[in-house]
Amino acid sequence: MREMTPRERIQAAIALQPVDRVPVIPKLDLFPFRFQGVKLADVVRDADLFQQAVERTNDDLGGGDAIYIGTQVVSELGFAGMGTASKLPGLELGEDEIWQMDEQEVMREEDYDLIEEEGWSAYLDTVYPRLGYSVPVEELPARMRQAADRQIQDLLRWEERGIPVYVGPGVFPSFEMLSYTRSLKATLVDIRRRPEKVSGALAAIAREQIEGARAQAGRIRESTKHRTIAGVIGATRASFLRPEQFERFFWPFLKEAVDVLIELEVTPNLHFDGDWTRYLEYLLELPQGKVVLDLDGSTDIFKAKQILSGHMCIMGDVPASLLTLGSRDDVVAYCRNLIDVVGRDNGFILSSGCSVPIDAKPENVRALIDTAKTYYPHVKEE
Amino acid sequence: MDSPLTTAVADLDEDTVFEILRTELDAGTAPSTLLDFAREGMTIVGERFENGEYYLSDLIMSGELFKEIAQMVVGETASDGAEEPRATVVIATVEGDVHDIGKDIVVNLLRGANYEVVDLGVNVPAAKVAEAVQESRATIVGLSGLLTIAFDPMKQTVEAVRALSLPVKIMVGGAPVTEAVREYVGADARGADALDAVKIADEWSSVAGSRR
Repeated sequence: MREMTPRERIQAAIALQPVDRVPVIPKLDLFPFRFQGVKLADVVRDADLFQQAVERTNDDLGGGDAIYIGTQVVSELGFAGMGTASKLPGLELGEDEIWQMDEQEVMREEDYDLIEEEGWSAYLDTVYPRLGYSVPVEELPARMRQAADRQIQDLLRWEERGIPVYVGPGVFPSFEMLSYTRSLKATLVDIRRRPEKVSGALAAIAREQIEGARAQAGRIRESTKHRTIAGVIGATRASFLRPEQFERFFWPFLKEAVDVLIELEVTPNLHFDGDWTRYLEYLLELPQGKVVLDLDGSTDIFKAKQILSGHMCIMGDVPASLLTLGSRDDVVAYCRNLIDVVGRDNGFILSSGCSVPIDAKPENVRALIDTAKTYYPHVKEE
Repeated sequence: MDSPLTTAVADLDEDTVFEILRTELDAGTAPSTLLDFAREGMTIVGERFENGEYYLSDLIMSGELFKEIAQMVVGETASDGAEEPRATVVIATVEGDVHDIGKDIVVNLLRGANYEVVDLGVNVPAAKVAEAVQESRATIVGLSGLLTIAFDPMKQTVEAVRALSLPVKIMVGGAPVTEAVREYVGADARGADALDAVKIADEWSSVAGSRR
């Protein structure tokens, strides 16, 4: 089989077509910073440092077939866009401690009406002062625009270097979003005590999420020659739900987000952390060969292959703890097994689980990338 | 046959639970009796989770429900009943990590299973865990971590607790905590899920046995 370009290889895997070898896209996330000796507080202050550290790491490791996310993910605004407080390095935390969402019950019961009637943005404006961020509220719109522009700028830099960027516009399922700002416990209680209110707020959040994805997809299309390949739909907590709750509070919104991204010619990448094994059958309802299921090591990826083979491309799932504590040989053996089993009959992208952790051993990350490049048992000679 | 309170707790039927509690408290039923019925309900919730009938959202709900029952019946913690707690457990999410969902489920299930729980919260330094073990004379420690950067603090916490030379067993849990991680941090056991943590505690406390 002739050698494919990275973009062709990834597109073929998504479309469940044969590949010259399994594509590999490590989710570098925080790994580049400690690897390059850049303190996390500096990354929060200066987005250029983020870009440089990721570029150098990509060069040092030989690089996968694409960069998973090409742009800065965290600034002094932390997780304000999700209506939650954050703990950030250099502010609430030490210079090199990792940023974390600080989940509290920010949203109050009466805020359901606010979200439903005036929308998610109006809600965010209302709660922002409660979240304890240092950026003044009047600077928010400009900062948000800056972040969106920054994504385009970084995409262009990767484009100049001939490296595809995998992820572009994303959609956060409204159940996840609501559970962050309301807290998971309170959301689960609300689902039982005031399901109508929850449904109303979820629909309002979904509307704005989808508008946001459309706008950003448009900006990317106008500014760059090569589009990003996928859009992330990230979820964890919906996997905690009972089936009847899942069907009412998560699934319809997920299907809508999938349809919209496909319409925008962006592959929906279901970044599903946690254990989704019991919900895999639902994914057969999504369009064939157009969606990627991106797993973190908690879902049974072999079961996923069994159920979704010939229907959906699977990405994953080298666990964080293996990259941190395992040996190089452990990682190679894990990756080879994935390629053998999940890579059979096409439709597989090798990747880390949720992310390559900040304290992963560099030789393990290199082993992950190299295994995909050197081990291809399924390719038929022409 | 189960008492109506046990059934209502097992079915997570909040309205019925509180209706029964009000009636029983007015009639002068002993709080410890009501708590025992509620605990039996929590045991059934655990069984239903294990056989796949209940989901994580149900476990979280049952924890919240039990907390509210305990507050209504005896105030504050559930282990103020007449029956001696099975053992005292110190629980924390280790330093550098602020995840609390999994830890909170374990805390509530342990309280439901009649353990005295000292919940130190999240981002807890090793020394603070050791101090709490010494003060409370706990025989079991549970440590949670959801990030790989929690492994080293977890290891240091295990070491700090071991340095007390007290008869304490240590269990660890959290999504990335595999058997290899347990070995690395030097803990005695790993809970694969929240219910597993209770089973491990049951096993340890029945072997120790002396406090019952």
